[in-house]
Amino acid sequence: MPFVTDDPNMLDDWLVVGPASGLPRTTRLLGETLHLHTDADGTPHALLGNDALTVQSRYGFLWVCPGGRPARPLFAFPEYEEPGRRIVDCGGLGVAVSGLRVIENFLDMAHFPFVHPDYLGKVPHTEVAKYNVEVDAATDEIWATDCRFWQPRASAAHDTGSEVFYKYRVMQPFSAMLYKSSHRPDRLDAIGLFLQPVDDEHVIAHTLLAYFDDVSTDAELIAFQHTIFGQDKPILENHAFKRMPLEGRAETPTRGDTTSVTYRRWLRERGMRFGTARAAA
Amino acid sequence: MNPSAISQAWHPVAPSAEVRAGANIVAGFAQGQELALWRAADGSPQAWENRCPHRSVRFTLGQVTGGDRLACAYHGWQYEAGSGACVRIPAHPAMPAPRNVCAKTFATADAAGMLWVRLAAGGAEAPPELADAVPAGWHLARTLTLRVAASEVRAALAPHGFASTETPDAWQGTLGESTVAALLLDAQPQLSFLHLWTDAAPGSDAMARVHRAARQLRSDIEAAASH
Amino acid sequence: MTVKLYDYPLSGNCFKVRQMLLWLGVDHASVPVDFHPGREHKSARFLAQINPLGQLPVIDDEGFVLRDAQAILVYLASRYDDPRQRWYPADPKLRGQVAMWLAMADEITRTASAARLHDALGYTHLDIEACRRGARAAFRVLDDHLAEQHAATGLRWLVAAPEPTIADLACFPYVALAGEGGISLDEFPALRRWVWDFRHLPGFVGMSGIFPAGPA
Repeated sequence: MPFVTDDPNMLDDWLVVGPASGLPRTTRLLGETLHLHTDADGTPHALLGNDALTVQSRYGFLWVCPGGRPARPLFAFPEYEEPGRRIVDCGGLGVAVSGLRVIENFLDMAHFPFVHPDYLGKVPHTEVAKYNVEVDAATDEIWATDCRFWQPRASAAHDTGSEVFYKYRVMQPFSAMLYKSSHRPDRLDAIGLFLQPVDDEHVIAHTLLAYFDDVSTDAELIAFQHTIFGQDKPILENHAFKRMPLEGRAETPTRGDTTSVTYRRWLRERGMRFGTARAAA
Repeated sequence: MNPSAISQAWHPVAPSAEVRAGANIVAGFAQGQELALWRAADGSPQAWENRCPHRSVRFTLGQVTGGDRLACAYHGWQYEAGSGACVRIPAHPAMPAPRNVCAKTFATADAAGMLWVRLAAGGAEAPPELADAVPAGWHLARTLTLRVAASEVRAALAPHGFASTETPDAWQGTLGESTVAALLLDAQPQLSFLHLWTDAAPGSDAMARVHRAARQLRSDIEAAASH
Repeated sequence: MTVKLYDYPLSGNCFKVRQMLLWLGVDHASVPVDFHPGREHKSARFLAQINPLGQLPVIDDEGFVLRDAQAILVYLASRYDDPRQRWYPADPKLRGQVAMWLAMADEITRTASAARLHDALGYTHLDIEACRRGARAAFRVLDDHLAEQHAATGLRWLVAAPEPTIADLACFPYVALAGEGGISLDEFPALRRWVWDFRHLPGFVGMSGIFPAGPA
């Protein structure tokens, strides 16, 4: 039996395997090596040995359904096609931890002043105000709204800043989106985080921007994303256990952790096993 | 050794001087247990499970703050020396910290220039023979690390002229013509520390010979283990 | 004066130059290079106009162009350090030691940095086990040196001088980032102490992946 898991949350869903460009290439998914290529007409193919896997190209990425029977369509991403938006692929970065912890970190604001000082937060502006979290019954996606956090101004020389408003969305156990204010007063920039599960304790994190920004160069936007992600990396890779515990009392959330509490409950209710740790005392 | 004797043991995790009051956090290891070693401003030694109870991020990425607290690098949660109790959660500055959130702490003792840790939750205080582990007035030559199990090091020390002493895993012998006290730490399944103390003076030729002989000892033991 | 720096935030070699400029009080302007995923440093234009080796960092100091992190440290310290010359000391023995450890910095790049490129940036063509073995061998040499020198003299930097030099700065980042390449520092207690000491130098700003020391 191929693949390192039989968890239907993984086998019956669409898993990202990297950009739709840069083919042919090989990549790793659920403990296996896949060979990716396209026909002359652009039809993508994903092979595990001699077996063709179910694959589609969407949003500039290839997505594979390992078990061949997708339980649902790939999530909607209307911002990707929206006129005026700039789409920037910030590349895939390998992280040695369960993807569930990477998503949880992406949804978290309380770490901004400590892990991203002078960029996304600054001591003593550490308070996390109450926000709203719901699971959309129609899509089974998690939405966190009314999130706001104090962010320093671009000039870090002065202790000035303001509240920035965020929305978060979890589409799959390994895919999430963040929305924040853009250069346009009425539109939000979108940042997609799509994790390629290499195995229970390793992912490749693909970040895609759908921004209203005609000023910055690609290199500048990518440099900023990598600066932020690079700051999270040592935290992510230094969890004392790499898999996320969904049961037991080894880890204790607090009031500001509403999104992650919802995310862990949502994973439990789906019977998530891949990337999780057995209950600790 | 039977299991309860092992867990009751006092492990020499670091030279005392390496862990500075109110300053650094040092990663420690004992029988596969990861530790965060630090001291409050008053010098009291702390050995905590290297894991913040919030999201399990290692305490060794954090820092000592306010003289008597350890702050986690992830969300800045602060834990006080002694009890290990969480005393501040920056995301909710006005809220009293939850009573049940606590770092896991281990018993510690400074003796003979070393910081010792007991992994067993309840147990005897540090035995007096720890203080005899290193003769008074001796100098730390270095902590040698070997990529082998502690059992391999124990088996190799007698053939290399070391004799065991009253203190468990404290040996005496000669390296480069100087007398040496070697304290063995079972750090991880394939990693041992040997803290080497000597009467050779710092900066002397004798100490330089101790250093050379220590590296030779390491290479002999590692080569033997790999066969 | 403002030094132009072809820069990338996740490059430890670029960090060396950014940190040196800060310590020397020299302004710089970063020119972001799309190292990943764009591989801009390997583009025909970059090779032709900026660095034929296709590497970062490169500086342009009002028309004086220099590549190679270690070479840039030598130049910046020689030109901009104050008369004490603590970063690149003039004493022949110390200068010889600095050169020796700058060569070690190249070995660290060849091994530990390469391991990190493999694990983090997907450079799967590299022999990852050889990189990790090589890094552990280099780190053991460093750990032995730091442990022995500290016991003998109380000095805690690579070169036998009371203050850090460009030798420490050159060797530091890829040691501090070793975990990202699957190389543990558990077995190197003296090296871990040196990393802590370096991170706590006044004015140390770190980079993404290496935390600066926060307020006490």
